[in-house]
Amino acid sequence: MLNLDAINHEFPGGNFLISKDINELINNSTGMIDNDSDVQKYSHQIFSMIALNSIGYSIEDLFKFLKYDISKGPMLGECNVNFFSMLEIDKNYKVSGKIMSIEFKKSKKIGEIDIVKFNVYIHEDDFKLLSIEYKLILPR
Amino acid sequence: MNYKLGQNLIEWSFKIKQEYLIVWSEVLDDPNPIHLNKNKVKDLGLGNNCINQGPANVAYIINCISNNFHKFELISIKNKFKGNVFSGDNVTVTGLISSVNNCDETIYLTLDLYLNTQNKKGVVESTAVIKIP
Repeated sequence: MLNLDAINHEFPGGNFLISKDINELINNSTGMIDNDSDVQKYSHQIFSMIALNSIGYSIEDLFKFLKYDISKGPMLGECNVNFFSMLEIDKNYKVSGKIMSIEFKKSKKIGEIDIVKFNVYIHEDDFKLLSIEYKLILPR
Repeated sequence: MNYKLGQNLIEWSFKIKQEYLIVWSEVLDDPNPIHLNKNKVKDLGLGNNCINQGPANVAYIINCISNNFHKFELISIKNKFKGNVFSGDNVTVTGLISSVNNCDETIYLTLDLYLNTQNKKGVVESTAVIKIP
């Protein structure tokens, strides 16, 4: 049984910095070719989702907090990102987030599942640059 | 440049290697065994090879947008994960322009995008809104 007290829980939060090296690593591992000077100033937009590593919990910690056994194979169901600004390389950002809801469903394909929705936000000072809505599927 | 409703995007393709899944697990600090241990994937009945990370799948879709529009600003992207991409898969991203809006001499395009593997179409379905300066 998942930890239902997790609903409305705010993550501890953390800092997020995209180095040139890690940006190149992600570009190389996804086949992105960046010859544009603007691209070299800004990171790959997928760092919006990678910021999940800076919510103040590791992914493993997050599942522990939810009282979910990660070996059951949790999956990403949906992810919606709203960009208010692009993320720059070598700039420090703050990351925050909150667990919004937990639902139970029966899936025809994978049986009984719990669906956890949570949001992540990336800030610069008090200005929100991005919001990311996640929907995780947790097989029981 | 003229943009037309229904205009197809140039297809983007990429081959997934296990070494990329290892990079993503480290970058995301994600120890989920489905990305690193194909026997675990088999045990769970999810397939026969390691499952690619969801954010990497979205990255391919963004790369297709970048390949089609060299100057653009990503406003939003909504992604539904309908299936899995596996280590060793050949993926393609296809898409089209589903709406064109001109607001104060700035063009906003809505794009419908699909991530496909050699075995399944629409593994990820995305809708992106981009701004063309």
